Formats: sequence, structure tokens, C-alpha cells
Amino acid sequence: MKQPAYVLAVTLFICCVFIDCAAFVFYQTLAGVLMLASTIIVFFSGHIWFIHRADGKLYFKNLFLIIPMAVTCVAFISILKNYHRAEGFGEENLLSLGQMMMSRYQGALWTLGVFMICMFVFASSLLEKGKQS
Amino acid sequence: MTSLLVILIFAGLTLVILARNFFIQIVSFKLTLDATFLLLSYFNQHQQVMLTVGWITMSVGMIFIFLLMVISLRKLSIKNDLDSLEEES
Repeated sequence: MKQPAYVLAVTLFICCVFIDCAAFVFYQTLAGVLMLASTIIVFFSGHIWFIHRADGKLYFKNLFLIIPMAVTCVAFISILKNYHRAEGFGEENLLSLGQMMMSRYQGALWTLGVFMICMFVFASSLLEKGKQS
Repeated sequence: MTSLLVILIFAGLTLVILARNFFIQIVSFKLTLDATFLLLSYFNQHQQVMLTVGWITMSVGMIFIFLLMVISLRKLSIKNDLDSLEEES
């Protein structure tokens, strides 16, 4: 449990929990609860790979990639600081949010339905071919 | 607040790109998603649109994480099958 990868993962998990609690406290109640639940699921299911792959040691790719990421981060921060905007947490309006979400999810549901039918037709044709041969 | 959230988003993204450990990658990706949602909910202009974008980002991101997990588990089980076959032979 004192391995560097595990310590980093726990630190990231604590950051996630703080963000989720902030969302819960600053009026996004439902989102905060769902985010906290999903964070816990992701963290604890991640242990499967940690144990199976014995990933205690930290492995990084090319560390020079930090430089472009840091430059982009600074650029984003300066843009957000210069951009004159109103900021602050607003109230959660679940009714209008739900309507907007559902109108988008209907489209996603139809697309998923078509995709699943295509997959089943493809799979059944493969099965038929397997039986004939 | 905004700067802190942007730093957290980019720190998470950097770890997703740089780390080779799958455990670190998925937890840092979750950190990026959470920080993005909080940043979007922090903008007061067009707040409903921002919140909807945040919810959709969160849902798509979670589906992506679970798909990655399923694919990786499948690979893990195939690897275990192959290892057991090698041991038998």
C-alpha cells in the first residue's frame, strides 16, 4: 500500500472526492451524489488491474509532453481570466435540465437501437454461417 | 477557483496521457471529468446549456471508462486463458 502508484491513485481519489463534495455543497446536489458514487466505483474497481498487473511502480511515457500541456493550461487560464463573464454557482433546475437531457437522450436511444439491431443481425448471420460450415 | 479547476483538468489529462498504469489512468480521467463538470457549472451565463453540456460530458465519459474496463477485463481473461493453456501443454 506504500507503493508510489497506489499513493498517487489515492491522492487523485481524494481530489475527486473533494470536487464531488464541492458539487454537492454548491447546489448541484444530484450531480454531486452521482459523481461521488461513480468515483467510488471507478476507484475500487481499478484495484483489479492494480492487483493483476502488479502495477506498484509508476511508469511514465515521455515526460517532455508535460511542457505543451502546461503551456495549454496557462493559455486556458489566461483566456478565462481575460474573458469578462459572470461566474458563480447557480441553483439546480432539475425540471428544465431533465427536459433538455431527455430530448437529447431520445436521439441517442434511437441511434443505439439501430446499432444494436445491426449488431444482432451481423452476429446471427455469423452463427448461421458457422452452423452451415 | 476557475484557475484551480483548469489546473486540475490539465493535471488529470496529463496523467491520462503520460501514465502507463491503467489504475492511474482511469482515476485521473475521472478527476478530469469531475473538474470539467464543476467548471461548467461555475459559469453563470447560459447556465442551463452549460449544465447540460456538463451532464452529457459526464455520462459519455463514464460510458467510455466502463467500456475501457470491459475491454481490458476481456484482454485480461484471454491472457489468463492463454497462460493456463500454456501451463497445461
